[in-house]
Amino acid sequence: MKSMQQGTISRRSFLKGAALTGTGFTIIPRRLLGGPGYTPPSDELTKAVIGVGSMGLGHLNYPGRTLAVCDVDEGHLKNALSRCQSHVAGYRDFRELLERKDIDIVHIPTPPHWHALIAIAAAKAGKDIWCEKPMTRTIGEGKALAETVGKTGRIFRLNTWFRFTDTFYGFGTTVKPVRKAVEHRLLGWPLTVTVNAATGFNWKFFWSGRTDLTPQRVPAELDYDFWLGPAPVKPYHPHRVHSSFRGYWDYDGGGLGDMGMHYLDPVQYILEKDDTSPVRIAADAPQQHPDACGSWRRIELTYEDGCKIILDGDNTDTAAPFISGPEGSLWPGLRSDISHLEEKLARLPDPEPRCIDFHEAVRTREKFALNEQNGHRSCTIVNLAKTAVQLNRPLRFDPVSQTFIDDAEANRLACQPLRAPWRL
Amino acid sequence: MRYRSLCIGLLITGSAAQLTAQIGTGMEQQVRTLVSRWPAEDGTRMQAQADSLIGLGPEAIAILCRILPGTGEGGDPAPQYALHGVVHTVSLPGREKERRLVTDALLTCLASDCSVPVKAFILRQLRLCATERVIRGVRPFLTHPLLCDPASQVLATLGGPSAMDALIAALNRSGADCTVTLIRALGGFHDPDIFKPLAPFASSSDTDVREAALDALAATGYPPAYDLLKKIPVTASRSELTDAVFRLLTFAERAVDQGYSPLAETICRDILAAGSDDASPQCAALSLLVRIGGPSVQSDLLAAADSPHRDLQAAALNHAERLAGSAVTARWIEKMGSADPSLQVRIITMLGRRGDRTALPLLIQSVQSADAGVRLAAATAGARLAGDDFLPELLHLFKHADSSQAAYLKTLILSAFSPEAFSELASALPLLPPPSQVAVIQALGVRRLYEETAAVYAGTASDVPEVRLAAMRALSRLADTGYSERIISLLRYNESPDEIAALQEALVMSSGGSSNGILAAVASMSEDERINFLPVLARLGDEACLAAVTRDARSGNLPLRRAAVRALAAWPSPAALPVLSAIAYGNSGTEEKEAAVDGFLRIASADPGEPETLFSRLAAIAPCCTTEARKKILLKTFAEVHSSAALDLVGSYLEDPVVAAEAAVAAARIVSTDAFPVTDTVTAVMLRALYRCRDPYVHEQIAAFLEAHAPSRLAYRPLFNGEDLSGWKRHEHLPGHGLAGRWFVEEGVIVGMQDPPGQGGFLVTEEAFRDFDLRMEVKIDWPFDSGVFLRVGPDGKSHQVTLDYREGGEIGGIYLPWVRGFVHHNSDAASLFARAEWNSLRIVCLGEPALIRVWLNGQLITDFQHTPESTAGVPAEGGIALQVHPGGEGFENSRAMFWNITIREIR
Repeated sequence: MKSMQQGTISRRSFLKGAALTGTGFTIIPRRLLGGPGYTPPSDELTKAVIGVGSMGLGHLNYPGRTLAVCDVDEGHLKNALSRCQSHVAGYRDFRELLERKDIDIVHIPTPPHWHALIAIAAAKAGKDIWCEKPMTRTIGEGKALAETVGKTGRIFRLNTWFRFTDTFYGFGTTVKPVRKAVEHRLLGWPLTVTVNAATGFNWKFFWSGRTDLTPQRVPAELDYDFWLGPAPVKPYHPHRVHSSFRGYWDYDGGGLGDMGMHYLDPVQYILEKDDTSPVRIAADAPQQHPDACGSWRRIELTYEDGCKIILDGDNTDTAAPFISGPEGSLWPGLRSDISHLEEKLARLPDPEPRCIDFHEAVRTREKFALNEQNGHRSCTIVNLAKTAVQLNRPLRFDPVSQTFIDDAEANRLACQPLRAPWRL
Repeated sequence: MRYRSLCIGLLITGSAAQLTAQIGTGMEQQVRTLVSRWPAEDGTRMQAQADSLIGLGPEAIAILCRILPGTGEGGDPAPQYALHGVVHTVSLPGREKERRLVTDALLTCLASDCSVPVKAFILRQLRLCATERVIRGVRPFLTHPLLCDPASQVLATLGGPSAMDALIAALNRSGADCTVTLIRALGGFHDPDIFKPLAPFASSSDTDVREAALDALAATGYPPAYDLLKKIPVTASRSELTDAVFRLLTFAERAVDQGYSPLAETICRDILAAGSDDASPQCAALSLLVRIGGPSVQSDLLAAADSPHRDLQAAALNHAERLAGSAVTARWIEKMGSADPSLQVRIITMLGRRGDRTALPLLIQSVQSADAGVRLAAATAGARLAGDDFLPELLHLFKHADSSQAAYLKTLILSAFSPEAFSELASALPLLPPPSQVAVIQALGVRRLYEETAAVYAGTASDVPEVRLAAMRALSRLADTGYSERIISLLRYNESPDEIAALQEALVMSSGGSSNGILAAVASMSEDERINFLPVLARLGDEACLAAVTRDARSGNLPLRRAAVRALAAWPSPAALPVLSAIAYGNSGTEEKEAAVDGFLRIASADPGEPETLFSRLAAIAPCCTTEARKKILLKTFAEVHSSAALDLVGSYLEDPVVAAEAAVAAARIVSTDAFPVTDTVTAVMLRALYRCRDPYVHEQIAAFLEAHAPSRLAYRPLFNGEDLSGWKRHEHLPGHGLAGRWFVEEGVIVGMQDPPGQGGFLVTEEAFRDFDLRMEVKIDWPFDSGVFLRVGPDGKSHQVTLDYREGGEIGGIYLPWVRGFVHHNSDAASLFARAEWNSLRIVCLGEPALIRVWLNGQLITDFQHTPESTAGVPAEGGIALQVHPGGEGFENSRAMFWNITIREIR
């Protein structure tokens, strides 16, 4: 069945009345959709939080009436329940939680190796999903998750938001004026983005794993086998779990895994690359251990059209603009070599409005601004970077089939089997 | 003969063994040397180092495997890095020969007797570089309880018939431990040939086995599997039901791949027809039908659009959006006729995204709908499809919009319209209701459409306040100097605070930075009329403005004067500092003086310039800064001036109880530069700061500073020599009782007792002290009443730190004898006082009015700040006294004992 092409038409042709297709969203607030015959659903949506360690506790305060929490660590579970009202139920097994009919939305602040599995189960169980970043640990999981969410008609969001709100870290302004400048080609094309401390971003290399672990006794309150879930069985050590799991490839991907989506999802949005992926990836890093994540010096991801993202972990390019094209550049604080930039931006049409209220999206069934489609693509940038660092050689990627070209090992890293009995 | 050949045989064997051993040692040494270089510094070196190892041959790899630890088992990780690097290297295209060498070597290791964790490590590495060659060597581990997971993953990754056969064979001989693992591994194969071996497991009593088998069978898409998958037990739980339905869908998807589309379609339609609590399976079924294609997809979508499930409805429309062709559009337009408003909204939205302009007539029509949601959806879709061409419809909606609808339409036009369309909207302004006028005017301002300034300006004459205000605000984005005069006259007589603020902003923006026109206009105005313009002059901030506002600050007209001072306080440059200072010190009213001081502080801190300039400015205004907030601002700013003069001034604030702690922090910051000149005066100030400091981190910093520069200041000296009472005397002039008591030294300890019984007194130092840090050890018999008295004057008036050790007595209270008694009670510390043991006591007495802090056994028990009222009558310096209190029941034989009395003076 031939489907409509995703629009890459610029705003200018939109103004001339040409068709703009693609994943545009309506933002008509529900209250304007009233009128006779329209029955608004019950007031507050309900939620459950799976994974109530430190991030998960924060999710308790997110919108939505909490009905249930779940964790494989008895201590975490008790702690979370003590902060909740008495009607909130505690579960050790998320599959029991998903059976409940009264839960609308499932929050998933577990470590990343669980995200795809739980989210897919939640989608099949008819729940909408608020998933922590990174969306998935591997590209293969991301494909499966995006596909499942799409075909089951679920509303999905990730817990990063800089593409549509908030000051973009050390860049100092929101992303909107940058996107606008790009949309209207004020900087020219193609563009290069540099993400480093000088442009306002910290790559958090402290999320490194240890290679000197020795087996430790599993604490009584932790169900370690369940915590591992689909990940391979390796001897227990406290550094693998809870507050330091980010240092291990089996569960996450170091600072890239932690901050990658926060930094790179807005970059993908700015570069208008929500429906594609880089085609060439190169990394410079000390060799990575098969189990423990380490630091890296530099990663470059290049798109087919020449747009480039530079992750400058070493902060060597201290004078680099955040974004640069043949006709202009932008530095933090929206400093630019383009004269009267603010003036020029003001006179140009705004980017298309999007739905940025998740509960609104759940009620109207409109895709949220950051969803399983564009989120998978930006998570793919992160996972491509991880793979390049692990293999330490240049890679080529096909954005359509979402596989590596001429590199079987890279594809084996992108698609990893799960430990039985778990499956996506 | 035989014996000889035997010997020779032994000899040969012996030397061969020796030789092997030699080669063995040599190789192992080489390998270890190479391994010590891992991890590699970068990718290029990784490959080069890997090649060195591979170049040594399979024995090298074998040795590598022998010396590497399993993950998480401790040991040297270098061999793990090395093997991992080797695996990366041989996985590259063009390295097949090395790959064979390495995988063969890994299989040899697997077959040896290395530990399970090591084998697990090797298997995981093997997964990355495996080829079909490895199947044979991996097979035995498929039934190993601990290794079947990594082993089966190797085969699952490989794929292909040989791997599949190996898994099936293993399944037949495996124990229960590995069954599920093997079945799951087979689940990735999607090959009809797994049907026969797996079918029996589909009815296993073990849930995990059964589910794994059914999943794997579903993945084959092989029609005979359908019968097994259809069987959903009546007693199925909700999740079992969900799993079963999705298994059928997976089966259907695979069936399509295998060419069995009709079967797949039937399954999808069954699921759609069955309905369910939640629509996930139905949405998935619909997706698959769309994927399969077929002539009735359109009907399926239209039917699904009628579903009571919003998500199925939405899914249907999302699919419809992606189907090309105007025929599709037409059917959905037709559907509109029977749709309720909420479905109409969805259809319209979908049509807007489809990009097919044949939908436009419907959209134009829908703009007239009775339902507001439909109207707005039509506007959105129309704007998306037709941009400027949809202006008439948007205009129509603007003509009937309320304020929230108008706000929505505004965001629409801001992302959709060209300047030409805005122009038409601007000329239509007079025809629009007020909320829409507001929205359009706002949009014109946001978009900086200078071409429409006249239309916006016209809005300032509106009868409706919201419209006027919106127009005035928009003018700040649009107006140029040509509008200055008009804005001036609007501002001159205006009395509404919001409008005044908006017009001031507009005047500033339109002035182009030049104040001439405004000053000329203002010069001819009355005093009251000028008030509105002063903030504008403050924003422009040039010399002429300053002169004008300064004049007004001396005016006899009170409101004008006040406004002028406020304007000066808001000045954007230090040029206003002199006049603000004059006002602060002058004889203006309090309100003006306060405003002037705050303004001065703000400007001076915002534009610090050179540290000396900053300091001299702030030092000049310091006497006017009498409130806590202002003092804190001063101190914070002084903290950045690394000069002795700044430290001196900050030092004076150490005696101000309200901001003493902040002063201490500021002092610490001031001296924290390397080049700061450290003198006696400086260390004296820092010692005081040490005691005023409340921040533990800063306290550490100051202590370190003093230890480095003036350790002698930190020294404690003894007040008691441990032998006799030299330096101490009995106080002879206490009013009332208190000239008695017996004091003596016994075993290095000062002892005080009543003598005669019932009579007490003070033992006081001959030296007088003012500010100090006093330490001692105290033991008191129960019951007894003692105390430490500070700054004891000739008549005994002093501050007592009570050591009243009896029922109801207070430890660490502050009592002023012969003055006003208790100024501070302490009922908690008594429980910390140890009976029949030495207690450590530390008393700090600082400043006048005094700060008195007491620690008992390391814990702070008293933290009391005197006021002038509470301390009146007590001298500012005097001796330190120990007490035996007269009277008291059971006191006759009690003793108060003191020793290790030392003091650090704070001078």
